[in-house]
Amino acid sequence: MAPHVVASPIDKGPSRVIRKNKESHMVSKKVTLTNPQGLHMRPAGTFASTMGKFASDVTVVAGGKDVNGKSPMALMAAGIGCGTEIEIKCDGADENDALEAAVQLVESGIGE
Amino acid sequence: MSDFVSASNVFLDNPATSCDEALKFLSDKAVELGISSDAAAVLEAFKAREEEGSTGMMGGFAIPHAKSKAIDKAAVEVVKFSGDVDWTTMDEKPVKVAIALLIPDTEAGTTHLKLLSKVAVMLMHADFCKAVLASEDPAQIAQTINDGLDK
Amino acid sequence: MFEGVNASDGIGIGTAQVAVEPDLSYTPSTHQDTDEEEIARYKSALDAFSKKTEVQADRMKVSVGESEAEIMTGHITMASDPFMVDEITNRIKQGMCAEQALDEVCDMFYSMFDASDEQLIRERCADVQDIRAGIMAELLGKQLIDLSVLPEGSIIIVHDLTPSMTASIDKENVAGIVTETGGRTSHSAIIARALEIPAVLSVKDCCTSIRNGDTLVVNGTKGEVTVNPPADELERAKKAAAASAAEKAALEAYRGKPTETADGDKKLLVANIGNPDDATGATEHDAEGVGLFRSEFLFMDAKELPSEDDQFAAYQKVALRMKDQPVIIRTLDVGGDKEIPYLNLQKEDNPFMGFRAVRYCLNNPDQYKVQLRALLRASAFGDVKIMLPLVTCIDEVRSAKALVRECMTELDAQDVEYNKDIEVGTMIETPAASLIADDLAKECDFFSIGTNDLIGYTMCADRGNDRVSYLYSVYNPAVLRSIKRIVECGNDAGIMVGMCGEAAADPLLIPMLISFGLGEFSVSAPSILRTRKIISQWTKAEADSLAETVMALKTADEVKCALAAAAK
Repeated sequence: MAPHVVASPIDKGPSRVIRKNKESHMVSKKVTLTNPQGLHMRPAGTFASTMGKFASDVTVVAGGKDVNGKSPMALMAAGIGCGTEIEIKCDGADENDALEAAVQLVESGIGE
Repeated sequence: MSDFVSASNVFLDNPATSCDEALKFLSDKAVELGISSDAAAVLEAFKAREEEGSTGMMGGFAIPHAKSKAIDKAAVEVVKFSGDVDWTTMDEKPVKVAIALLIPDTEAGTTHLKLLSKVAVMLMHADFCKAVLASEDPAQIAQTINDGLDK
Repeated sequence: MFEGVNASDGIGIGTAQVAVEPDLSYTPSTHQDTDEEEIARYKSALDAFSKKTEVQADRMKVSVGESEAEIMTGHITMASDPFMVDEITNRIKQGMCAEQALDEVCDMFYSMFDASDEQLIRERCADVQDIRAGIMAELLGKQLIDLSVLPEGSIIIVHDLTPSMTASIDKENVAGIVTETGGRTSHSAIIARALEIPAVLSVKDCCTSIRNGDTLVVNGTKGEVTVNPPADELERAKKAAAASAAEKAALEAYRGKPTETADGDKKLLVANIGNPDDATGATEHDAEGVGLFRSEFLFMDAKELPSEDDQFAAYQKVALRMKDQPVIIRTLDVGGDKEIPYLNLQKEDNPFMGFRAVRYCLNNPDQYKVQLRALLRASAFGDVKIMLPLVTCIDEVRSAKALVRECMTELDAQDVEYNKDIEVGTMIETPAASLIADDLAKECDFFSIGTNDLIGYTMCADRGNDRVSYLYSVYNPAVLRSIKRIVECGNDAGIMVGMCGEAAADPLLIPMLISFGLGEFSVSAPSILRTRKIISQWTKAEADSLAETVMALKTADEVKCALAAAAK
């Protein structure tokens, strides 16, 4: 995406290129977890290590809380059960690839 | 059942000192009394039952039993020993009296269960045990057991 | 001789291997090295831990099993968690020494997992402890216990079995387990039973009283540990162990066979279970169904009333696992003696004669209907039957059945599938129910005799009270007559009569039950094959003959003696 040009409120002309708030660069998607026993150790570990390969920050939103998607412990502690809808947010240079990998992984049952 | 045990089936002063000797005596007597015609088969049946679990009880009594095709009619044999018989018992005391049940191996052979259970119950009563241990009269011993079976 | 909790059946004979965890205490302090050096020290310990764990995991894949080995690889995943490493690194940067940083972060994760609603997640607390100990040992230069390299014939003596310890046990070399803590349902007990290693738990001070090299006889069936027995006792123990192993092998002949008496009377032989996981055990032991599925597990250890969906999931799990075999599920059977805050059960002076079980449920119909609806929904997935606990009058049966019908109407309106012909039966476990069994039989689809409570209520004796436990015996004529009546009333009305109390597996009692005409025997999974064997040894005629004598006896002692004498 091209950086947005924002006119500084003081200068009248086009000036420095300022990147807008990082939020808008983030991509996200909602998916439902289908693993029968929820996100227990094995799938949490698989998900975290897959995401660990990407440079982007990965956040899993479950039950209204943000969870570090690269941390198997944090994912497990969130206790995401079977049938829960989660939102996966990726933010960074490879965010699109990361999100695609994440969604595909969850939809395929994370190796279970 | 009141005359199930006859005095002629009661033997006193037997010199056996081991379980095997006692069982052999009982098997041989079974032929003599006309209960069976095959002492060896009866002995085998007695021994097989002992293998499954010793029939030695408490207070000097044992209730060996044999169920076999070789036994023609149900009968009870009683033998009192002159000394102690080495027999695995529940109270680890030697056996002084054996009340043996001989049962034919027929379809409707359920009498033995009644006999067995009744005799076992009789053995729980001190006066019964005392009476049998004290008596040297076959007729009296037979009567004591028969009375117990009747109850 | 030491006594403890009999956690896993069998007799194990071997040499003591006392496993004492090293002292992992440290003095919390500010680290003297630079931040980088301290972080490097931590990472090096983490590395060493991960490598050792991986070696262990590889070894276990071969000697123990894939899933046990996975527990170890899981530890590596958890220990390498970037979030965890970050948290520890940050604390080191604040000056904390690596040991304290590790401790604090592990505490944090422990609390996080402990707070979860999911049991699988809560179980990970033990893994956090394992990892903490593992990395701490590396930091402090200590050695942890490694159970995977024990000599043959070892008896493990340890304070408590951690997951990594149990996962690394090599069945070939471990003849028995003795621990200082734990009960029948503890992690150690469950693993020991799964590995079929005799185990006695909660043996006080065994780690200090028993020495390495001591000869031990571990009787996991009785809960006894004998140290350095004399030669003749050891011989007897060896014979007993061999006999018990031989008996187990001989019982395998009965696997897959129908359950029937010697003259071909068919009986239904099923299992008692306490949670969905037990269902697998039931099938492994060749059960023909579930005669009692205690539903209490859902309600205990929960912070709030389990939802209809939660309950449905559990019941459905069992129904699916048992396929087309019958599954009898008993509705909530708890009272004031149990700690279940959200049920608002008052503490009572006499909880066992108080507001519990079906009385409580019928008085909380909205709550009860949640369970009933969940059961109905599960009936679409298997042969599920509903059973009521502690019934004492026919009103209770009628009210419960009315609630079931209400639930059916509600489910019909929502177009939800369920078995419209679902059977509703009752436990017969009170003198009252026994006395009105003829009336109850006309309005119930089946009976299951709960001898555990029936004996207690009939003899008015608490089995846990040493002074009166002698009265708590199924051999009492009063109890036998009660059982006989219940079975006859049920049979006269043409309904199935089963028994789910411990008495159903009693070898001495089985001929009596056959004589009375009991149709279903529901026993603990490990008792199934033996119960089938005993049933197959008796003809109805023999059983009747014995029963005739026994029912005329006047005392429990006489009954027991007669049954023992006639036993096959």
